[in-house]
Amino acid sequence: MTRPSQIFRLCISLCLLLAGGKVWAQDSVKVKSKWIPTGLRIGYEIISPIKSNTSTHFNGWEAIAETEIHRYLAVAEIGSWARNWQADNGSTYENDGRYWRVGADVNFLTKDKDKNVFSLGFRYARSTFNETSTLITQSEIWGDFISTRSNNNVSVGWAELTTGLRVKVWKVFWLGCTARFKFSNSITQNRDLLTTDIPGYGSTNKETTWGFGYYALFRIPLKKSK
Amino acid sequence: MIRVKKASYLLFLLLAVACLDEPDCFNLRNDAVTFVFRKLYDGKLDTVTLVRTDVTGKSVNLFEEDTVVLSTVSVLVDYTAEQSLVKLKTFERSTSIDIGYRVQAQFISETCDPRFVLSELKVLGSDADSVNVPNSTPSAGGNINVYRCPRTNYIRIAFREVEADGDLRRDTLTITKSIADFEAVKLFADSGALSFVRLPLNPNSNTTTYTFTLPNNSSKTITFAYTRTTKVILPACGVQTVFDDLSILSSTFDRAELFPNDARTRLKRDSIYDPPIANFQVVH
Repeated sequence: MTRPSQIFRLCISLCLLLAGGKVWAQDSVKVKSKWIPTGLRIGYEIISPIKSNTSTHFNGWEAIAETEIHRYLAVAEIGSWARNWQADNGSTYENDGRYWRVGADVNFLTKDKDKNVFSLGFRYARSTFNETSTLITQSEIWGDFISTRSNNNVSVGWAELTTGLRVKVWKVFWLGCTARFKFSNSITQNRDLLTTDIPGYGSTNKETTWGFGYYALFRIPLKKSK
Repeated sequence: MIRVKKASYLLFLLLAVACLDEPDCFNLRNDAVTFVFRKLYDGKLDTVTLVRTDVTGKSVNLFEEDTVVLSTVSVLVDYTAEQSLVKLKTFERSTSIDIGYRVQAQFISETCDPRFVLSELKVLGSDADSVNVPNSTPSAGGNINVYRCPRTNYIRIAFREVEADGDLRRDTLTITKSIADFEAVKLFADSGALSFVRLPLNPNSNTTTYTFTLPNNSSKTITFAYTRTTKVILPACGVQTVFDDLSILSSTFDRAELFPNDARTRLKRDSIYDPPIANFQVVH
């Protein structure tokens, strides 16, 4: 037997549920519209090809894709990097690898009518590479030493704090640059050849390092701005 | 747009800072292995007179003097191999320690030599009384402890002169040559004024005779008598001969006797201690 008081309580509960559902539905619609990507920028790092053509020590490229979502940018970058050095004493080092980065930026120019970007952000990056070195040294006590050592399929991750600019130059063409503070590389120096350079990261001789990229980008609008 | 310009300047400043990030060409090797001389009895630091250090047949002294008195010594090991035979020659004995280690190498830059990182230090073999490796990374404190068993046969003689009132006071004696009646290891230099000498006793006889040549070519002879028993002082050292009831059997010095005990000490002057106490005093 259902009592009237129980029916009343059930009705109240249903009303609250429906009212809540309506509020949630309204919020979700509102939120959803805010979080729809408004533009996609695809670009290419412009210094790497120049360096590749002018230097015998470097060969590499880097591409970037970033999506504008509200005041945030979802960023993905991939690249390739090969180094080739010869020391004065005849020692050589070469590496070759691929890397990727994913992360997000916060745009601080939210009211700019051209949608220019000044951002701070974070990346997680990972690199996989091979390296070979011929190490030569002459010791007054122990004599000459020469040894060739290699590491294959070394995988290293690291984190980056970034700051960057994206400036609209003409219609869909944009230029940009990103400065990176790279830290917390996960390299375990437990191999007979200690790693000198990590593609995408740089030198391992310090705990942290800096990097810079200059980009030519094309912006594809995904939603008309109001 | 002004804010964008300011941010651009900031980025180019960061770029300039990054250009300063060049590798350093020093501290490229941690190839100095530090040996610490210790006494097995209590683990405390021992003092040795180091004459020479050899590594894999090559002299690698890190000190300039011919001999030095020390408790720790660092030697440069062969970073082009993963093993070095270290010989530490002291006045007392010559110790060989065969050490193994891992050598990792790294290309540093176009202007630097390669870097060598030694680690995982271990003792492969040794004729020391005992050794251990408290720290397996070279150039980071003491790496290898070299222990010695207690020395049971070294006596100490103090040189004295008689004052006007008949009391004895400290004196020095210059000895140009010393000869024992057995194959002994001397523990003092043959030059310079000495206030005391440490002399080993013959473990195969109940007497030991020393003849000292003085600068005026005169010589002094002294014969010690003692009893010998065998005893295990430390299991790691096995059975050792212990010398007691020390006395002077004969002497050509003006006076030679047991060193007098003062009222505060309970040392037995006719027994041997390590480190040694003054057992005898000699007047010349």
